[in-house]
Amino acid sequence: MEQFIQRIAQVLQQQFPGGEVDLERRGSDRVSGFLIWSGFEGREQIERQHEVWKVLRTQLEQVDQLKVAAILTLTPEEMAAARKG
Amino acid sequence: MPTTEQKARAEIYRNAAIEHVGVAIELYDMSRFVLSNYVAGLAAECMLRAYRHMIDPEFDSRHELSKLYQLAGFADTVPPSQVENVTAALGDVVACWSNDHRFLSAAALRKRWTKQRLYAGIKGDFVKEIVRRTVNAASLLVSIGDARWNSSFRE
Repeated sequence: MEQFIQRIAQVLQQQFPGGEVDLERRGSDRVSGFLIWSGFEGREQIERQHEVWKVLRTQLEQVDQLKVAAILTLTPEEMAAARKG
Repeated sequence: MPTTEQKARAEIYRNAAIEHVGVAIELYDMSRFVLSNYVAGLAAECMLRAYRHMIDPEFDSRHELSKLYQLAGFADTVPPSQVENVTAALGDVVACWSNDHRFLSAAALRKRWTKQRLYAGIKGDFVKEIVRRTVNAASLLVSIGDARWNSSFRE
């Protein structure tokens, strides 16, 4: 699973240069986390998700896509505010 | 296996989520944007707490919705075809809601969001638009949570 997490992180970092990827294992076989990227500024969440999933669908086998539970897409400012709760 | 008490408490959270979404929509229609946004986020938090409570009644997420989403196992209830929409909805609520928004005036909320540059890409009144997105997002999360409740916790 660690290799799988590294692979997703690598794929996302290639497509979203400068983005911070923070993923963690969920249960035995799923992954979730964050992609924090300044390039998301001014774009709606649904556009960001379409972009991330376009990459994942291109780069991962279908069976591996099902292992990705959720990757939240935030800008650095949004993430900083969210961490304050 | 959740206890009877756990189930009862979880049901209270679930019902609160459904009620609060309705109130958030009413507040939006009355242009009460600060409270509409706050109540919408609260509704989403209630539904996530309902799910989390069925797993473990002892938790402290400090109102951090992204953490609560994970702890609640909510992603496991989302059909693969809905992952993008539901994750986008969660992202809207996480980015635009904070538990301390209830202490803010309309001007203070606008100032905070301006500092966070949430106006980017939005034409017209960006506060109104962001609140609309939060309310829609919370509605989706609560609807999905409610619709999947029985299948998630069927005995």
